[in-house]
Amino acid sequence: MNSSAEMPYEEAFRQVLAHRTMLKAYVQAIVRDPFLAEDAFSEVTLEIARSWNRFDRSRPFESWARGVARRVALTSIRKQGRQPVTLDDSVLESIGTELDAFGNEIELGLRKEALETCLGILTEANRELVRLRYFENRGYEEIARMLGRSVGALYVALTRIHAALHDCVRRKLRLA
Amino acid sequence: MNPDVPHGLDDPRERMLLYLDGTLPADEVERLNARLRSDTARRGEFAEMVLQQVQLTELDHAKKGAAPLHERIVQLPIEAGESKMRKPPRRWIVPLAWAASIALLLVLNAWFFGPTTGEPILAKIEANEVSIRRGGDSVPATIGLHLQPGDVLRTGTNDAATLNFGPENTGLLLSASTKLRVASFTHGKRLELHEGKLEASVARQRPFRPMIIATPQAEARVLGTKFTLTTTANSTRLDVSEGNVRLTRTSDGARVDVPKEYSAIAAANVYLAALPKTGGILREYWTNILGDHPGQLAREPAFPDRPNGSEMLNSFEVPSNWGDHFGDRIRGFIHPPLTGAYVFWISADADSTLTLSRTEKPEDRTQIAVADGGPPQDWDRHIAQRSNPLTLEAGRRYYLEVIRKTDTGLDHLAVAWQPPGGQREIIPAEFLSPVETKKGRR
Repeated sequence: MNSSAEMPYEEAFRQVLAHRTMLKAYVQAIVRDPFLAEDAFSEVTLEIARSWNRFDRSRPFESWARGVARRVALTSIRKQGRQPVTLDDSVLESIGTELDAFGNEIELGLRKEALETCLGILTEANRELVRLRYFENRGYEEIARMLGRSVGALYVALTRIHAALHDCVRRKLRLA
Repeated sequence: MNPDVPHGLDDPRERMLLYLDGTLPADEVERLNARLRSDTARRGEFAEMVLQQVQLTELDHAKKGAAPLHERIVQLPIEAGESKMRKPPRRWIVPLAWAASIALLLVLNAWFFGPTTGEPILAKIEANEVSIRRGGDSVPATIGLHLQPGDVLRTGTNDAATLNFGPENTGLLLSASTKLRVASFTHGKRLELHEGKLEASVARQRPFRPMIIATPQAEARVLGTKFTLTTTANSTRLDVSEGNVRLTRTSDGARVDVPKEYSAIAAANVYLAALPKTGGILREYWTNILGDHPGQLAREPAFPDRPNGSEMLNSFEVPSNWGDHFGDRIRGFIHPPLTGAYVFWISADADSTLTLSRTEKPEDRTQIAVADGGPPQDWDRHIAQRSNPLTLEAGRRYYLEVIRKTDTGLDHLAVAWQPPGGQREIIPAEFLSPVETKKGRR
């Protein structure tokens, strides 16, 4: 587990760990379901470890890992009996690069702390919407029935919630 | 913020959200694709939105990870008593052997092949966040509702629900964020635990008509017992309080009988076995030893096989000011609740070493942190008190050991961890189990 007694794949796990948020986000951009993305990310971790001997260390880990993640994510969509409808590989890779620009796990951790604080600025109703959608993974139709709102209104509300959180996180990171 | 405005796709961020939720039509995906290909700023916005979604999901996991697993204990009476189907012998029939035999056969027939007595009824809801799906519709979750085959019951993040089974003394407590499907009553009671945790108190079931609870990884077959079943995306954990439960791993048919006070985990690449339940870790101590270095304990002839005494710790913390001139060893297993990176810390009054195995075998352990004094729970006094982030898998157990040798003064010792997405905390008992010691050994 520590360097002196490492198994060969432990370096792979270490690398995944150091890029886990980027990889999770990248997988989510492909599978388009936060909870399926969690499962697919676990599989990505194993696949990276299994393929570790084939990784050319002279290349950046991030783009190689995204290649592995893309294959695994597409497979997990097919396993669900769905046909992948996703962005082009080149667009996905550009988004991966954008994700890299958010920084390392420490910086991403600060961003997550800011995000948690920013949830406090939302109205009670909007926090409830976040909870139902992202914490409980409930579908829009179900949420619409529960809250007595239209699906369209929920999309608009969530878009605004994301924008509000985005602005709040940026403010907090600037102040930090 | 007014969310009640008409829906439309004029806002590119809304199109991104629809895409990330898997509901954007294919032709709109192509439009989004073209936009993202040419517009760097939009790509940045998209990346930020997807990152935000992932981190929101993680925030919830962190909260769940920090919450104690055994928040609510169900107190349901268990009664393995006589079935109502049994009838007292009829004295006047004694001379008529044939009639007696027929009566007996009738009783046995009813016992073995009669209908299952209990069907699930929603008996209690803690908050008001229980949803029930029947067919494609929602059914109001009202107390007394009889659940039917095919019904899916789901509890909210702050809720719990209790199901009883008609006249029999069987009860199921569903914890928060649990999804349970009632599969059928045809040959016993068959339920499917898709996610979450349930605590069951099951009255004796009829032969050949067990209660079966299936999870994505395993099947628990019950004839009468108390147990807890917890399932996540990757593993199922069974803890038995009374009786005996057979757990079958569905991927390969491997099975294990889990007795009282034991647990088992069904997951890929995890050895299926009945293990002592979590809830503590073993501390052994050796007294009247001078010196303040762990090596001095190791040189003692009584170490490691003949401690002066031992106790079970309720968390990874030794009571302070325990004594002078002693050494101790705390050893057992940790059971990570989530797969991911864990950081460990040790804090102690004297030289102490924390070792962790990458397996459940002690011989695979390596030193991950050391302490050399300082006040209680001063975790960051020295960098060596903290381990590197270590990837651990949920559903597995890892051997962990601390050796300390203390001399005089205020003694204390604690080990903390920070689970993925969680806060630093002294490792709670529910994630610890002791090593199996030989019978009679202190």
